[in-house]
Amino acid sequence: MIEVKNATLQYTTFKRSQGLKGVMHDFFKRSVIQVEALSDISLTINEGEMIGLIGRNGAGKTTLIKLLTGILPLRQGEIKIDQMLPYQREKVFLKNIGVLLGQRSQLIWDLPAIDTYDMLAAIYELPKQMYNARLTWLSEQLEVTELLYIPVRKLSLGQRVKCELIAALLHRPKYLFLDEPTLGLDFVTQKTIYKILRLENQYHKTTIITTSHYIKDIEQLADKVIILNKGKIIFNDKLEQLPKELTTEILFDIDFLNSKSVEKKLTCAPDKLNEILAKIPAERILRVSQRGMELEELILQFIKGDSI
Amino acid sequence: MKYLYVFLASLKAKLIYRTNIVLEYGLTILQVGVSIFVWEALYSQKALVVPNYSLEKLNAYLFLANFLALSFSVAPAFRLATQIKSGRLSTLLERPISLYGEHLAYFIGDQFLGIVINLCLVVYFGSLSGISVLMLLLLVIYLAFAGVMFFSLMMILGMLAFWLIELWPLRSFVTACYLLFGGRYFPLSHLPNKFFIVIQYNPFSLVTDIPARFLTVGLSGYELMQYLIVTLGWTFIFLVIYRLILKHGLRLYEGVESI
Repeated sequence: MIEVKNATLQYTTFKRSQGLKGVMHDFFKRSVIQVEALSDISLTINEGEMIGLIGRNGAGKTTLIKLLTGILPLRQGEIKIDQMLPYQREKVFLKNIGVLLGQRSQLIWDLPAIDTYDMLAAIYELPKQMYNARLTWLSEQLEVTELLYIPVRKLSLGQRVKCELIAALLHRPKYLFLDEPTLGLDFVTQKTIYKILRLENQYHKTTIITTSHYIKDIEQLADKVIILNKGKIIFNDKLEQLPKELTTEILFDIDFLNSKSVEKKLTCAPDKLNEILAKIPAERILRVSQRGMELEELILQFIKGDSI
Repeated sequence: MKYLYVFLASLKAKLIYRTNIVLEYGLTILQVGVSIFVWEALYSQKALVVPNYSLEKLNAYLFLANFLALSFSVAPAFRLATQIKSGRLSTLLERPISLYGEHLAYFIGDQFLGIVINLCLVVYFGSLSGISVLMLLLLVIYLAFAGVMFFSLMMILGMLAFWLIELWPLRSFVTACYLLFGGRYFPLSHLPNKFFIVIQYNPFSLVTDIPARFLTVGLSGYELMQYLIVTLGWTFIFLVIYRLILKHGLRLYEGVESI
């Protein structure tokens, strides 16, 4: 179980002055500023849960993941994963976590992926039989059996991400942290990754924490959502528990031609529809359609609401 | 066992780039060739003579010092520094493996070919100088400890990346130290005695100048033991500093550009 209590994290950065005079001033005395990356965060994640961690850039998602994986030290508050403090990086703790980052490779670039897997099996002290069975199952599910013996640098992005996923799952981690797992991948590869992660969760009760800007990832990989804004948790519950007035909101899309005859689109709430339609010449209106709010917009509205 | 796999992976990765290996050794031979050419000119005109070194012995010294420097490489410092700066250090921190152990195993794998070549050179020049098998064995033991000592120093230098924003000053500093204090252009004993007494114990000299001197003009068993004790002393100091810097450095590490 992951328990976070009143976690607060500040970091120091420097404010640069403008112009040559400012540069000279900074050379001798820099203005130090404290930035609060996380502010009094408390949450509990139970074993086997699938969590989506979302928020805008700089909301604190990555910082929270870094704290949970023991990369950053916590100076205020407490984080415990199975009663262990992540930053102490105990061997048992490290054996229980797996990390997949869309933009960072853990495979050895010049060698075939199989060499990295052999090395990882030794690092995680996997019994040979378990390693072989696990590798066979994962490579078959992800359809990369033929690619295991090709140097990583020769693989396409999608093939590499699949191989990265095997590296993250090989030791059957109890907690899996995913950051933008489907970044730049095609639809078919995305579906394959969703499938395997769902299976991992079902078979091994793997706790999966996904951060993504791509809402499809969250819809597919999260039963519960944590929304972060400016270092604070503003929502922590199941998706269907988002405020009803937002989820039931109806929106209208108005497609029209502007004065330069270029097609444009406006989205508005029902009470603004007549007002907007009155401003557009009737012959330039192409279509008006009604729709419910999509998850992406719903979350955006929610964050905006908190910002106000 | 885990470190053996890191070693093997590093060795395999190194052997893939055959051209790099050929260039590395080719350029070292060229560099030594230039030094030898300069010293031959100086010796032929009797403009400068290094005490105790005939031209033949001086050539052998330069050859050995520069080839040893290939194995006692500064590469671990820059591998670690780059990992810190790029955020790729996180990958290691998330695995149940020691940072020092992983880097050491990787370094041995990366330098394995050079280590084998240098061992052959030790045997060849040792037999040429008529050094006994026991003394050669003692030299190999000394080189193993000197390797760990030098590697530990490189890890400390690499960890400066926790504080440094730019890495180029570090690279220039390490290269200058190696060229100045490692005896790669001339035997350090050529320096004025008051400098030599101190400089002979610096970590760069211990990995290049001392073994090269041992195999050319010779060192007694007592002298080699003395250098071994200094090497062990440096190793202890570097390991203590390594632990301290790592502890403080990791508190500054942000894993930027990745998690």
